[in-house]
Formats: sequence, C-alpha cells, structure tokens
Amino acid sequence: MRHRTKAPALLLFGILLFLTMTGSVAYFVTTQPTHNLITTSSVGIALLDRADPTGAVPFNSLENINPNTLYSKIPYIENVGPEPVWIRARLSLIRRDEDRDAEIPDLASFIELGEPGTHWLNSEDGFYYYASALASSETTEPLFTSITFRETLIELYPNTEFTFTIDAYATQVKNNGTSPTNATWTEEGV
Amino acid sequence: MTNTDLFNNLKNLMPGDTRTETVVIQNTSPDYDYVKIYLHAEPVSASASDFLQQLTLSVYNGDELLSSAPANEPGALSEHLNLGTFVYGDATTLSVTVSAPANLKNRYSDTSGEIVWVFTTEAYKDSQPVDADPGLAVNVVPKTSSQPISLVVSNSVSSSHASSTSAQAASDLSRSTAQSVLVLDLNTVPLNPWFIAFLVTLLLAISAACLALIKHKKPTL
Repeated sequence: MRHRTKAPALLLFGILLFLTMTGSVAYFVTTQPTHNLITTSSVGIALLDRADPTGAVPFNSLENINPNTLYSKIPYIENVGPEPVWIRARLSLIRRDEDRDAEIPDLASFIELGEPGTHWLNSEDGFYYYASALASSETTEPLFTSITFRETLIELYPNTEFTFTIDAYATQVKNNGTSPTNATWTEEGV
Repeated sequence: MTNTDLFNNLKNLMPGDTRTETVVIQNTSPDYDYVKIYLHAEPVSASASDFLQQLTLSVYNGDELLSSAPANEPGALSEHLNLGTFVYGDATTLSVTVSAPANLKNRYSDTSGEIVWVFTTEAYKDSQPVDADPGLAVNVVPKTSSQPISLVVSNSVSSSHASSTSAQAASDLSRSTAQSVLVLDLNTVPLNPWFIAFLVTLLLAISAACLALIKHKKPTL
C-alpha cells in the first residue's frame, strides 16, 4: 500500500516541477511619471494720461483753471496682458470740500471733452465702451484729447479742488459676447 | 512646462474655455511580443488643489470615457487603469479635456497646477498575448537580459477626439513626434516584487501539501 500513498505526492511534485520550468509568470515592468501643467492666462491694462499728442509729456494737475479754456489731456488705454480684451471707461468729477467729497452729477453740464474718439461709444449706463477688441500690446485711440471746464462749474463751486477720475475696466473677449456692450462685466470672471 | 509635460494644449486657459489635448501612446519596441500599459494619477499637491478643483478634467481612451472629475481629484485614475495590450506598432489615443467655468474668479488668473500621471508598462515575451488581470499572466517566458521597452508617448493637439484606429494614431504620431516624446526604459527595472512573493507563497503551499501527503500513513489491517 506504500506505493499508493506516494503516487499522489509524486504527481504533485511533477506538477510543481512543470510549473516551475515552463509556467513562469515573470515579466518586466517599468513606470514613468509625467508632470503635466494646467495654467491660466490673465488680462491686464494700463491707463495712460498724456498732455501732448506725442505722448511724451504726462498729464499733471491743473491749478487755477479758467472757464472755457481748453486744456490738453489725452487719456488712452494699453492692453498690457496676453489676451484680447474689451474695454470700457467711466469718468467722474469729485468736488473736494473741507468735510466731505461729493461727486458732481451730470458731468456734461460742467465739462466738455474735446475730440472724443470715434471708437468710443458713450452709453446710457455711464460708461464709454471701446467698440473693438483690443489685442495684446495694442492701445486704444484717445478717449478725448482735451478738457474744458464750463463757466457754470466755476460759478457754482468757486475756489474748489476737483478730482477728475477715469476708471478703466477690461474683461476678456474669449467666451464673452460679441461686443463690449453685450459682454459680461463682473469683477469675478466672465 | 516640464520636459514630461503632456498637456501642451492646456495652457493659458480663460474662464469658459474647454480645451482638448490628445496623447498618442504607441508600442515601438520590437524586443517584446507585447506590452500592457496602465495609467494612474497621483494625488495633487495641497497648493494646487484649490485651483485645480475649479476645473473639470475628462480622460478618454479612444471613445471610452475613463474618468471625469474635478481636476484635483484622480477620479477613476486613482486605480491603475489598464489602457490595453499592445503588440509592436499598436497605439492608442488618450483625449484629455479640461473645462474652466465661466465664473472662474480673478484670483485664479496666472495660476498653474500640476497633475502627475504615471504610466506603468509590463513587457512580455509571448507570441500570444493574454488578456489576464494584472499579475495573473501565465506561460510567459522571462527575459534573461533586460532590454529597453520602447514606448512612445507623444502629443497631438486637437480640438476634437482623434480616431482610435491604429492607422490614425500612427498618423497623428508621425506629425507630432517632435513635440513631446517619452521613452520608457526598462534597463534597471527589476521583476515585479508582488509576483515574486506570489510565486514563493505558491511553492511553499504546494510543498507543504506534498509533505503532508507523504507523512500520512493509512492504518494497516
């Protein structure tokens, strides 16, 4: 009966030997990491304010202004970012009193802008919209080239200091409307 | 951009953008009968997570959607996804689509986030490829000296999913080889340690069974 006991064991050894010799499961393996970057772009503009058509002389403060006198002031905007942008700008005149500042409403009644640029659209919402997209490194045409203070301003506010402010805004052209007036303007994204 | 960056077309995103990058993977190694390729994504760094979670990343293998999740999450790529078995010359095309929401906030402008993908390749010497689970391959003759696995991974920028046929993939590859190519090298890579452990365990178990049978004595009459 001893040979009967050994038979299964020999069979198992045989299977084991067969697997070891012919049934190897070995193979080669290698790994390779790839470092993949996703990046975002940005928009950027610069508001330039000059006192002469060549752009060489920056605009400075005006003192002792006279009514109905034309002062050279040439503001324009440069796209200093990598992406094309829509542009809009808003003008405001702030009257500085001793105790408070107040914005003067109805600006057109008190100042006159000389030679407003033909690409600038004066909208009813108080903004000037630049009609075409501004590519990277391009500049707008001047928003205007001169400013005149009407007599009504001097009469109503004698010996007063004013701050004339131009706020310029940019938003992306991509995925954002077909013109600046139907684009989405928010401080946070499109 | 790193020298292993496969996302060449996923740069300078703007809010509302949807971009697609096509990655062609081809087995160009004549030294092995076939290779299996797996892909998984590592967790992103904490500093990049806030930015990347704003984006949605989808990965297709041909027409099959492998994963779609916020870009800071590996999604289905947390596992080693089998991209297929490739004989010499075979290729597949991965399409990677990233979407930025239209309301992406300004603080994410000029920002970058890194996603690390790891390609794992198993090279086999076997005339008949088997489609077994990882680690369960049989009848594979081991190499006695290692040779490089020549696996080419290259970019092919596209705005739509490329065809997954080998002919189209090869065509894409030929146009884009100069852009980005990775060659995975096997020279210093040892055998898979998990399979060595599996083999040892199997041998011990069978040996123990044999010894038990030999020692067993039936009662004599």
